[in-house]
Amino acid sequence: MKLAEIYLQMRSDMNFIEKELEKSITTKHGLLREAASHLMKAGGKRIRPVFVLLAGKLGTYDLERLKNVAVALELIHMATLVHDDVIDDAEKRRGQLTVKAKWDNRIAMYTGDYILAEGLRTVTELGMPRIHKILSKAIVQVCVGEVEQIRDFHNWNQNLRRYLHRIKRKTALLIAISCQLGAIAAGATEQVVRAMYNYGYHVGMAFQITDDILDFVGDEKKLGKPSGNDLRQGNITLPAIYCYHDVKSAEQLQYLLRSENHGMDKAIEYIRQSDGIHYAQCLADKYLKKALSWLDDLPDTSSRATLYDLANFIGKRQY
Amino acid sequence: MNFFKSQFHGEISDIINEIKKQAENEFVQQYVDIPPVPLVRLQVLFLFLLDSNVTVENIKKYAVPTLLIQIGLDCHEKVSLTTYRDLNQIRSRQLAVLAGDFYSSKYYYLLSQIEDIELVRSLADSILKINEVKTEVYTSLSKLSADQLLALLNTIDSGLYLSFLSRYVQDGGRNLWRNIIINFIRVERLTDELLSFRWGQIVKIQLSKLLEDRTIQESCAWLQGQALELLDEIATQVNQLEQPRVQGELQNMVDAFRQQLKSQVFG
Repeated sequence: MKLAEIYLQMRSDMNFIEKELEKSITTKHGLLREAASHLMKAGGKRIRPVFVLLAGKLGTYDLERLKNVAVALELIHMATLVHDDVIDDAEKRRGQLTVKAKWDNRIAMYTGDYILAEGLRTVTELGMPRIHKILSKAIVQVCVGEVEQIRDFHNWNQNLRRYLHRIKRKTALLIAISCQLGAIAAGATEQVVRAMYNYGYHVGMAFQITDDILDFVGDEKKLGKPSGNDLRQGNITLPAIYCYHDVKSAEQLQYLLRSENHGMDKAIEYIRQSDGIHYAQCLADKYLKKALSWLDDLPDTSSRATLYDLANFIGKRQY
Repeated sequence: MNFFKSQFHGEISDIINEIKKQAENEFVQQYVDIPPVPLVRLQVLFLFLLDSNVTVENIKKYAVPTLLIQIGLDCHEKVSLTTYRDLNQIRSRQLAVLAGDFYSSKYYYLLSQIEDIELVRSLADSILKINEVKTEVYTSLSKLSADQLLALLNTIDSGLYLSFLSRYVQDGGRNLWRNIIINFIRVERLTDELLSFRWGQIVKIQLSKLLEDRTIQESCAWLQGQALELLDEIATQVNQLEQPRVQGELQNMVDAFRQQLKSQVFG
């Protein structure tokens, strides 16, 4: 099932969330409003709000209540993207100019800080301390993960465990808590809350591994960034780590990385053709399988079926 | 200006140490000079909360996250506008972004641990306002007069600390404390500007604005005069407070600033 078909089932509620997202940018300052809305208008999968709403259906579904979690999580995610583009010195995202490219680094910093504060202000509409404890801990972990990613830049000696730990903090955690917090906000049982966290965590891991595969083999136009962009930035992801450490490919890759004549382009092409892609795909599949197994703990509802479809979309996505 | 003459030296040191502990990251600090804890703001916040009968233990719980936001926002001011090719400069830019985000996230974490969601909200409101005004200053600098610029910078500098007013002070006292906080923070900026200039550091934004239609000496004398006038105002405001120990501490701060300013000769 395609993402659009999944969204179609939730169209009315997702439209509501989209409007709430637009409404959340309340600043009267023209340029700040334009910059803060810029990324929002570029679209995005809105995968975190979708997970919040689906998890909410496993308890007492109250959209007015759930919107505070869904909108907050998407705003927090957007804030990190605006700042990530400063970190990566990125010109484009989702096929559009980044905030830092359209304006500059300073405006991008103010915009990211503004959106993050708006996200926190939104979530404080919910007076449940547990939600804030979980969310705040996750945000700190995401930041730590980002620092770890920079520390690991150009570090070819990192192992699989370190990579997995890093992507957990970078991506899986926010998806896991999207599922968990949706369930908590809807007053679902502890068994459901736990299952949703674990489902989200495993989906999130698969999502990031798939992202890292697509960075090598995806359609540049659909991704909105050049192929092998991560490696060019120094961010060594799973296909590259495998290729670098596998006895069949290590020597050749190391040679290409050392060579000056378009060595990086050739290394990216080499990784693309290597077993690293297949290995990463198998690992993503394992995470997806595990994610699906957590759905067995949930009541047999349409929401469960959609969560199943979403996990499968992530496993097969091309962008 | 320092807090060492304060009778609360131990308590304030304790807060500073906790902020440093929370902000510590060896890797980040290899590349980024973490902005210092703004002592005047911490001291004024401490005394305001003390005057509002908040316990020292709770003051620490509120001051640490607030100052972490401040350091986070200040870190983001360090993010360069230039595109670098040098790896150290690139790392410095990248980690200044992340350090700022990390400190801001810590504020939410610490306040969530003590379940003070109301304060999370009012500080988030302040961050929103601060970034609006920062954008205004950044995009309209050439159109602003020195007075307008000073007023906007003061909104940026004092925003976080004013978040506490509505929570602790009734209508009558609110204006008094608002003025004390705003004026102290304005004096801090004026003094900082003068000292930076005296020590031959880069001429900061405010002074360069003044220099558009004044000589250097005239500008410094103007800044000095403004600061001394504000200190007279603060002294009058401090006299209206009820707690002698808070009055005494604030008066000491006024005296220390006066001494420091008067030792600078301009014009």
